[in-house]
Amino acid sequence: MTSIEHAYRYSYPSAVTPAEGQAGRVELATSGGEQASPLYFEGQLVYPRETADFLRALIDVVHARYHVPAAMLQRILIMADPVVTCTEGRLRFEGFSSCCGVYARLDVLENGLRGTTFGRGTTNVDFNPPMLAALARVRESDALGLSVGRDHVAASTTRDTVIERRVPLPARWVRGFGEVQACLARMTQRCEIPGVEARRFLRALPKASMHRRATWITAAGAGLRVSQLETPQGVRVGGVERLRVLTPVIHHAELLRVYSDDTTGASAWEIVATGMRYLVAFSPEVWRGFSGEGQLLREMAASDRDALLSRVRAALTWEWLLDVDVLAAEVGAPVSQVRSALAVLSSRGLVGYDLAERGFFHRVLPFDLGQVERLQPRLRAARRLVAEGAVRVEENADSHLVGVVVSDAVEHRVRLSADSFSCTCPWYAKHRQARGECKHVLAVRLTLEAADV
Amino acid sequence: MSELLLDAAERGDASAVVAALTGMPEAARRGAAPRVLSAIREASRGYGMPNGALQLAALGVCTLSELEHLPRHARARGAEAIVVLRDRRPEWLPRWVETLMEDEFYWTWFPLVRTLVRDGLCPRPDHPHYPLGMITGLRALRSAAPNPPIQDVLRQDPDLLPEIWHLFELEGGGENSLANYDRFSFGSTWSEAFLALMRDGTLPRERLLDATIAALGRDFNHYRAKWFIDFHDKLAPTPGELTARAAHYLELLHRSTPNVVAFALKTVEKLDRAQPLDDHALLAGLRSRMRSEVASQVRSVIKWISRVAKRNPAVTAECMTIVSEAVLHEHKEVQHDALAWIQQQKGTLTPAHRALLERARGMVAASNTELLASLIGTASAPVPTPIPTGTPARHVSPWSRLAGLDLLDTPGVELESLGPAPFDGTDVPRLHASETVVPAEDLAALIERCASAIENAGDVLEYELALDSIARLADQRPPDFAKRLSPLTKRSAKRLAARGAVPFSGQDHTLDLCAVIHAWATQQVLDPIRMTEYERDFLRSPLQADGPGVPVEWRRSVAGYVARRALAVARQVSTGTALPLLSTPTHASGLIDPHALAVRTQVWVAAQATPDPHDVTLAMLRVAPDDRAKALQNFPNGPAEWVLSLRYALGGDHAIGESVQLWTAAAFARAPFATDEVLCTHHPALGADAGVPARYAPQVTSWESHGHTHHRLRVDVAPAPSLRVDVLPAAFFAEPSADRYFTESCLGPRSDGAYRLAASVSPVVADALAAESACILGANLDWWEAQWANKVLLEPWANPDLPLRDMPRLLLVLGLAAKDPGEHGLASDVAIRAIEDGRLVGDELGATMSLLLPTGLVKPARWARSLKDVARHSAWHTLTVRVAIERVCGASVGVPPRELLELLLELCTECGCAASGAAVRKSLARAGTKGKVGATATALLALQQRDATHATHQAQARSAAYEGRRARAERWGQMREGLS
Repeated sequence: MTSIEHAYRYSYPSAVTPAEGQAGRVELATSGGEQASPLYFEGQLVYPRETADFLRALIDVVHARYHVPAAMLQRILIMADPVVTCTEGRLRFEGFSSCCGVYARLDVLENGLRGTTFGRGTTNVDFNPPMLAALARVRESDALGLSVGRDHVAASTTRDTVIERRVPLPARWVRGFGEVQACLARMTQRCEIPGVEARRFLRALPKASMHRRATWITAAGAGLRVSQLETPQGVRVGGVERLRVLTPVIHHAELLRVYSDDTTGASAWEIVATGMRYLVAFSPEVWRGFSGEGQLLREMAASDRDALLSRVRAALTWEWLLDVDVLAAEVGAPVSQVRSALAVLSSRGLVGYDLAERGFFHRVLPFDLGQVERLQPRLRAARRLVAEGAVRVEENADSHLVGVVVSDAVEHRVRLSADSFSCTCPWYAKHRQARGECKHVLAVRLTLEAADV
Repeated sequence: MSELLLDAAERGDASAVVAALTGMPEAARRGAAPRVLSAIREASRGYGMPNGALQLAALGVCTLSELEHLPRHARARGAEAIVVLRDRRPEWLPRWVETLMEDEFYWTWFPLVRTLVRDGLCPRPDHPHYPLGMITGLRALRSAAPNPPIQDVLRQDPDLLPEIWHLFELEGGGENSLANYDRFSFGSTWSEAFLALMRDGTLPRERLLDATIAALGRDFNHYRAKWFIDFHDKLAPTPGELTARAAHYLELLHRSTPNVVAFALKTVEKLDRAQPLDDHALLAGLRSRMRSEVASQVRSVIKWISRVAKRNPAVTAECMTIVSEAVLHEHKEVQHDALAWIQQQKGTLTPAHRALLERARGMVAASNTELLASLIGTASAPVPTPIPTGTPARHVSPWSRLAGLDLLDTPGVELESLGPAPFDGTDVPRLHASETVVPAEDLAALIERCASAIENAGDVLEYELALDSIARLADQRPPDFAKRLSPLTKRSAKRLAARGAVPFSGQDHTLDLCAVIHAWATQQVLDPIRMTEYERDFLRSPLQADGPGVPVEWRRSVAGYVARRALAVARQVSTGTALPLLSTPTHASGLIDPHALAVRTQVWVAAQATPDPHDVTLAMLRVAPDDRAKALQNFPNGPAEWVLSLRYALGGDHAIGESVQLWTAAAFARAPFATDEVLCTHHPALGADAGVPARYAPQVTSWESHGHTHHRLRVDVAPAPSLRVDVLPAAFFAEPSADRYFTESCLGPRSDGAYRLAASVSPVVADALAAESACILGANLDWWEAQWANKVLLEPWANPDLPLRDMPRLLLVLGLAAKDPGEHGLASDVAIRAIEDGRLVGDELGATMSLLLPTGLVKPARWARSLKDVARHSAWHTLTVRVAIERVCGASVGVPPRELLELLLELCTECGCAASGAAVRKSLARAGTKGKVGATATALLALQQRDATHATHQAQARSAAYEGRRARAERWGQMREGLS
């Protein structure tokens, strides 16, 4: 398995430390970002119990592995820590499951925090087992502080043990973490139900594993129900048992919003609570991670986007929410192109997508994402085909273009039109356009670009 | 020196390897490494494993990187490995130890690692698997005596004693945990070892107790947490020890592991009874239990909270807040207990409490609504949509009768006795313009369609269209034909070469498509070869001379029938003849527009060719009832028997010919519910659905085996079915195999695709399919075998134009009782739709349930679960389910099942009516007054009609019933006028 080695280096272990009286403090150790161990925030949690519960739920997602491929003899349980982005007095905690199929984000909003922001940026945060156990003991009545990072002067005077961990992050995991943002950007809201109904719905979920079944969640009265019949209004969920990750925190929900992406069949579930929002996105199937969706391959393959990407990237300044119109004016490009550029940047871990506020936000995942595109298997295979001279254009009409790609002694015919593509390969036959373009289509596009057709 | 080493390694002489490695310079080791690695690779081929000497040689000569890349079974362990490492003393030894600790079976390396640490060859690894590895790995250190107790091993290696505290901090998992070891190991256990070491003073009791309680607070999995609960009990803490740790036990109430919480509740209750705890701390702990899924736990906590409020009235408000949360619990008993207690404290109800209770409006069980209303008042009921009066809309009017709308207007007919929409599926429009499919028109579209059909076996429409494309475009052979077809031929060749693949045998329809492509590309038809082995007849592929075959009986199944049509297509395209398939659906519903059939027939007549009878009969069964008379006017009137039989199927008057296959299918397609006297005279005694409509009689047989009662559903068909395999409707009744070993069903293999293909064979009337489906589903209701495809059998019945007669209803009722969430979920979906569109009414649903209930085949609790889901949908669904359960109760000989009675109580309360009917009340009276059944029956008997609620509910139900039926009538009207 291709992997990227990532090193975590925490100056001290994260902990919930007791303070004078009854108040305590959640001290989150940081690693990476603009500094080695940056300090981003110090303050108080307005809703300590809720925040603690949501953080634990997020870690549950990070530690979860809903699918282990049959061929995998050794379970590679990567313990990739969550990342936190601090911007304008608000915090976003993000985590991604080991199986690359579930993404979770906790947005602690302005009314959920009181404190001082020392900087803007994204960093890894340490969530060790003792700290998680301490978080479980937090009560409503506790006064609880929160610090993301530690003052360097204070840190240098303490005698904490430095924690170092080198983790081989599978390339598909890093890719998936990025691609899930592009998937979120395509989603539309399908329903919104009260928290009480959401709790009832989750409790009524089938106990048995349903990962082999395609399941649709449909509206029923004021709530939701699980259906086995596809309906236009239904939200398809593969592996509906994965929704149980919401159960430990659903009692905090004021609202539950459900979103879905019609192209891939992925869905996102957002709990709106006082002072925070908790979003969990699920891949279309249990065995299908976000990394394999390939919806951005076309954009990645395009060579003319580099200049625009650089301009857009330079214009990002850790905004909580990006105004695409303003950004477009700033970089002097059409809004549609800027949106497309943001989608590509999301796959590189440079922006995320906020469904509730329907916009991108700036954050830089603290991983080495330079290799992500290089490690994209389909793109790599397409470039190899082009290099081997296996691609030729057979027909170039106004409405469409037909290319022929010789691969494994077979001629695959690729048909491209303004808004569609097709190929005669088995991969396209199986997935159609739901998982992006196959290597043959990409090879034709690369050839056309090279020839400036 | 390296020669010596290699010789010894190949001989398997471990001692000689150790001797050769001793003192060997590093350069010589590196020189030997390639050959050692090569020998290991050779020995590891297939299921091979390098011998111990070779493993030692590798440990002695390889670099860390080389060792890390070795398979785990090629890594040396044991005493010789220590000797080799002690001699070599590589600087990478700590990293090698880290690698071993990362192994999936890390505990197997514990003896080696422990010895290295003890001997000072490497530092203690800072890895959680080191102490955890001790759990299972410690036994391998017991070399002094056979199977010594764990405590003795620990005493012999006292440096390990500090490590044991980590076992209270780390959970372990899989095979390696304290819980697993103590459960499955023989002889000494860890709990005994800890107790023994505690008794002799090696381990302090106080710390053991604290560590155990702390471990319970770590949210370990319930299985592994159980070990700590048991160990806590074995420590038998004194009352003083318990009291001193009261705060810790209270903390455990916040945990998420159910058995830990149950343990904590028990302990805290004991402490609280002995000496009342701090009320605020106690209530904070109990509050977290209000969200427990275990109803009994929440109910006992409510009782406890009431005791706290009684002893300290100052905390009553806090108690009310906590108990208010329980009102939202999904169990009605919990809701009732919470509401009843709050009602007792009604005087202290604050606006904040009211707001909390307000959230529960509409959420509590119907039987608790009055109680809730007594606390917060009644909400105004939604006003039902009034039923329109006067002349129905233009599209609705002609179909009012068949949609069952007229029944709603019939004077004196109550909703409870409303009949289903009286259509039979042949008397209503079935072709919807939006469902028209587009056939492939050129080679490019054909290739795309075929590729898609091969890769998506569950999409049978794609398969049909792919087959049709090849049949129609078989003469298209451009100069680059072979190249253009190469993706398909390569894929097909791969599928056909798979071991055991036998095309045209009924094994897999996508395999048949591959063979058709093969025939088109190579002019070679892969007609299966018949052979006999072990006194059984098999079919095998001509491409696999020594490959395994499939039983010849598979061809007798419905899938086999369709496969024989594919074989005919293969023969046709192998000659390059381009003629359309008659039986290709023109609509996504699987139906054929009779006008399209006329056009296709004309092409065949013009070509003076004769289509395959399998294709003709399949076309007859698929032809839609729409506009047949008009289509007949444009139909060729040729002399050929197949043309005449097609005309007969559409309603034409022709003399019955000699082909039983053609005329039987034609008679069925013409009038499936009538006896065809002419056919019966000409071809007598053909059996069910061959001139005489089938009559079904379900039977459940039961037998005892190994203390269990087994049930099996069989559906007898009358008249006795014809066993002729080439008669299409009869294929649904064929016994596919004498012993039913090779195939369980006459539909074909157990797969989504095969079942969907079977359902596509007769889309107009599918009762025979439903009967067989019921048998298949009924044989696996308890999910004793993972038959994922069974759910597909319920899919056709979501179609609103297929009426739910006896057999489909039997299938549906079985589906509602299935254990698998997919099956009972889909059955609920179908029931919801069918009630909505008027195909299913309570009386008929109840009658079918009554048929099955006494047989023991179904579990009533599962019915109650599914029907509860159905009843939630609308007032009309509630009423329908209520009527069904009343019918079951009325027909019940003994005491009706408790789960159904409880649901009936909820539904009657919601409808505002009493349990009606003398038979129902008599059956309720039989339940007595004792136990849960008696209490529920008594409550049902005591129910009085609440006129206002009843009237509102009836109006809502009538409105919902009307709307569903009107929508159906309107849809039919639009379909007929081609408006949609």
